[in-house]
Amino acid sequence: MGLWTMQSTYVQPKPAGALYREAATEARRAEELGFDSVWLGEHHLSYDGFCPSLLPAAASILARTERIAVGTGILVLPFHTAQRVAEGCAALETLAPGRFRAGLGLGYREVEFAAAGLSVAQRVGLLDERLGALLAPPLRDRLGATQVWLGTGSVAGAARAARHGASVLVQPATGRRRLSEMYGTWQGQTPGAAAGQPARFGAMADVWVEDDERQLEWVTARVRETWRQYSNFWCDDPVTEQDRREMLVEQMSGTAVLGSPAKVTDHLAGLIELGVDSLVLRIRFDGLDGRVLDRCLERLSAEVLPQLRMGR
Amino acid sequence: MSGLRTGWALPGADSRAIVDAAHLAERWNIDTLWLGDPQARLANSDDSYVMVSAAAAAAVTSHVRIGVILSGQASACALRIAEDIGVVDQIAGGRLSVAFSPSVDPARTGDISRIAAAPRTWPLGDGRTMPVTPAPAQPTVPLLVLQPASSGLIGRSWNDPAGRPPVMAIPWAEGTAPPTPSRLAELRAMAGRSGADEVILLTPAPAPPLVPLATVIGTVIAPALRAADHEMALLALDATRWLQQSTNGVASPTEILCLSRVSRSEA
Repeated sequence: MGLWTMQSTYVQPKPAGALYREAATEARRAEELGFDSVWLGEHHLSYDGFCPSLLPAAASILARTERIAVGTGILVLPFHTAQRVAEGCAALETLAPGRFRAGLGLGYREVEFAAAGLSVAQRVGLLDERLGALLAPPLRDRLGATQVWLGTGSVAGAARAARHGASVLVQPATGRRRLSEMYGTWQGQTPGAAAGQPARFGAMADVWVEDDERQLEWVTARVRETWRQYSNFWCDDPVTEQDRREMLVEQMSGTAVLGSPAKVTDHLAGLIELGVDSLVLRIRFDGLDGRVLDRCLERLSAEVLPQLRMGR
Repeated sequence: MSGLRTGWALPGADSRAIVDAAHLAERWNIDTLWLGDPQARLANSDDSYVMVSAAAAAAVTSHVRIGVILSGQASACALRIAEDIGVVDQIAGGRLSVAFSPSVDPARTGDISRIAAAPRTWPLGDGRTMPVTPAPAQPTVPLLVLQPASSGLIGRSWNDPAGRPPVMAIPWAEGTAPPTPSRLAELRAMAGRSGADEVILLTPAPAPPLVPLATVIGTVIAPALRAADHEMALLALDATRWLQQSTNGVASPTEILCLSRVSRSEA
């Protein structure tokens, strides 16, 4: 279940402290409803306070829950040294043994790389170098039973995960054909176990369960606004790239599956047929929280997940 | 000197012990729980380990202050640590204090402190400036620099090094034995000489069992440090007597429940 990002945007401004408390409360609710994990997203230097420090945020949720796993989806490894990640994982593993999932990835936002004194062109080399350091002695010893996942939307990324024995977390909006290629590549390279855990092949998907047409329009507008804001991260200059921005909004919000339990179940079952064994469902869109979020969680738990777990 | 605050530090403790200690510190009204190692030598003193543990401690408490002692080990750059400070202070609802160990390079201390203070901005090097978010919940997070002193370590405010030191940290070797009134008077005198208004008791790992240690700090030491000079000796004797009676089987059911819950987690 994801993604919690602790943003306070123009759609629904909130104090940052309340957002961190809500994340823990909602994780407890997801735990009650039988979900396996919650995932957090990372960005830096954003007006809305987007969470930049996922490992402390994960600790605050793990400390207030009993069973549910907490993952980073994803932590941008080029912005963190391998030692920093290893030490954070060590603290989380001691705090909540076996419940932390280290989802790692490349990042893409130019200003975040500039702030770290890096260029986007360095990201692949840094990811490989740091992933290698993290999964080799002595840092590997600090990971304990932490599962290592690699967030990616490319075949090359799936191959990289296989090389390192990591699980895969496929980005949302990845098409079925590419996802299938990624799975074939990853599986074909016989993934091992990065930290003593069997590797998994997961996918992220934007979903919302709602039957009522008017409610669905309201939800759709909020999903579009979430992507409108998010698309700014992909533009060098969002002011002069309005057309591209709107295209991205159409493209990304178009990949979200919003509708009846049957519609959502069909989509997710299709991913499972392609080899996906773990689903990270984004349901935390701007302005969709509180009772409406709880209702969506309940319906996913009662009307979608049982179907998927039984293989329909 | 009266009105002193009491801090408890467990250098080298792991994150689970820190969370247990946080529950106890809150239960026994200890003013601040400090994480990290002032000497930056023990295990679990990397800044990232400390900030993650601090977030967990903050999440399970509501009023004890959470102090972090940063070692300056190079696992994270200044910007990342400043971001951690913002996130942990938000989780703590404005209860975070930061101290830099004596080994931290002053330039690094300055970098982190400047970013953590308002306005929290970061230059990209091309003329653009970005906000460092989230801002801490407190308008000003206390930022201290620890320095060796004859009485232990004293912490001075980063932006006012010549000012009165707000904290004094001393190794606490007495374990779980309640200190005598004369020992408590000595502590108060040391704090008075240094000018500090908080005494941090350092109990390095492996510390004595947490429950009796927190109980002694909370029921005997902290009240004795807060009390007026002329009240202190009698208060210390009364508190010690009460503690001994309580641990001999006359504690209230609520206290027994609390003690047994934490004892299980220690086991």
